[in-house]
Amino acid sequence: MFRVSPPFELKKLGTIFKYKVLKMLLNKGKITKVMIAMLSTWKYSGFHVFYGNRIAPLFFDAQYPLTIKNIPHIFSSTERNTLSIPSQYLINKIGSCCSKSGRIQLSNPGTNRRSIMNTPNGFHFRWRQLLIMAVALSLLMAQAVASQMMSVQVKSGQARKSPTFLGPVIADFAYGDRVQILTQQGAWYQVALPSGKGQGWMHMSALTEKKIVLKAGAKDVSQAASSDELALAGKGFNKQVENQYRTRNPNLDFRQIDQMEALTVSQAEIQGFIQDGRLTAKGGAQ
Amino acid sequence: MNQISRREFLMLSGRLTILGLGAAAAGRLLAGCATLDSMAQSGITIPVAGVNVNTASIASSVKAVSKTFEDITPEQEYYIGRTIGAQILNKYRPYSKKAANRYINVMGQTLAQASDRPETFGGYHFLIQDSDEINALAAPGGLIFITRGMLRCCPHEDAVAAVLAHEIGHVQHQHGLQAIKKSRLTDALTTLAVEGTKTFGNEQLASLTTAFEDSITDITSTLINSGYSRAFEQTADVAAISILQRVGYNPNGLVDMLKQMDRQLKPGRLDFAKTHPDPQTRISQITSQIGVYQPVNLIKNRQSRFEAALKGV
Repeated sequence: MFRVSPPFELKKLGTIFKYKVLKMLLNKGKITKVMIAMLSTWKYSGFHVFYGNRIAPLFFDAQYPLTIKNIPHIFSSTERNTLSIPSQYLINKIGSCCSKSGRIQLSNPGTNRRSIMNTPNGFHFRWRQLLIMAVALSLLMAQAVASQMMSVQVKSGQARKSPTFLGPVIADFAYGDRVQILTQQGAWYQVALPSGKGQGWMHMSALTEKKIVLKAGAKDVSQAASSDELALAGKGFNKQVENQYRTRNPNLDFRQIDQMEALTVSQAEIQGFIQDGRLTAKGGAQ
Repeated sequence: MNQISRREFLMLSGRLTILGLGAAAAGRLLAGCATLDSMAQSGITIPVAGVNVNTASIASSVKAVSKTFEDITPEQEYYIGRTIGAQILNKYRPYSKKAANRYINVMGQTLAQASDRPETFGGYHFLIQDSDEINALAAPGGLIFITRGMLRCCPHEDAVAAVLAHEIGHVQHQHGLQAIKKSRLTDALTTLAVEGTKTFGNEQLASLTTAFEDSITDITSTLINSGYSRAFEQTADVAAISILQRVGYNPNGLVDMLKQMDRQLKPGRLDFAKTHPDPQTRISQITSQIGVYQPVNLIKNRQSRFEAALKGV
């Protein structure tokens, strides 16, 4: 059996946290003043320190996603996921900060004196650890805005020089590859090419916000079942299932389908077709 | 006052959370467990609490969110599409003339690139089928079939483009996948996926294949027998018009094709007549979108390549 402390008077805790933690991190050279400015002004990354007396699931599940769902274009789904995970992580960490000494230690920036709060149940929270997590949480969020990652969801993805299929292909991507989105123009995303080789354009239909796990372990599988943020490559209806289906339905001729897929058309051929037929196709650049 | 160790506390709170009782039982305690892939990505090093929870218990107690057709990944759509394609080819055999098929493919790719969904997992591929029946079918993921009978309803390239664009519209809006009964999807996409962690065992593979078979039957019975809803057909027509306009075809090509089809369709036959709304109805819907019918101007190059490629079809 265990109990917890009564609600504290912690209205200014957010400010205290912010001050102490940022000062500490700055002294240690972990962050810069620019980052502090960013953290303090960014609308969605404030130090949301929970000081109520009851934690409902809604608090952790809904608070960030609700805000973030209003600006979905800024975040990839993975990052939206990232935003909700740290809050759970935070809960977990707070649990791990508990010790048997029965005290909560809280540094007070005003007096620079460590105040000790006794709790009846034998746990204490080490606030400093909590504070580090709070900052980490905010840094994570800041990073979420800075880089949106998406996954290639087609068998073979291409990045082109310009935002049209008529532009030459400058890089190839494999199924599940993660790409960093730089800008958007219509239905096209400008993506960073691997190993800093500049930028290219990919049509949005080739990309997904989901993270595609190529070799899913048990954890990924259970996560994918309970969320929409993860896609498992090679799971569910796959080659293995097709083969099984083919054994059960020997009358079906899949070789014809293979032949059909083998017929490919080059971009040059398409361009010739457009010109020859006096068409005005712009290669998906609407 | 009983005290519990940190480890016991974590184990207990973790389990309670897993059981879905976390909210009630944890009360004021901050408790929970999470996987921290995201932390690893952040580049910030934070010691992770040593929560040791049996993953099997997560898998069995995890609440699968209900799935819709949108949860079918493009990869899975691709495998569904291949099988639907094989079923369609079981109905009508392929037409072997290479020039005609290449012509259809180049045109189809040009159109697909102008659609709202130019990229699918395996890409778009087109095939003429050797049948006098007037029909065109699209399997999920971009395998598109058109019969010789349908091509004969097309007086010019703009009309063929209209048929292909209509089918691309079905692929774009995933109408085929939407025919799969919802009850099957949650089963097929979550429960079975949870069971089959690595490669599927015989039992899982058998039940997954059965779910696959059922999904295929859902689609083929709609696609080949009953046809899509009128709303879906209209959506595909709307998509077709926008694709045609983007590529530079006259959308009245669709009207020309429908007029021709109206003359050739025989009521009661097992083809387009059965699975599509009446051509006159479609024509009036289309003209309400693109304005009064204006005949398609035949462009010399376009018409001559059309006649050359589909000669004898």
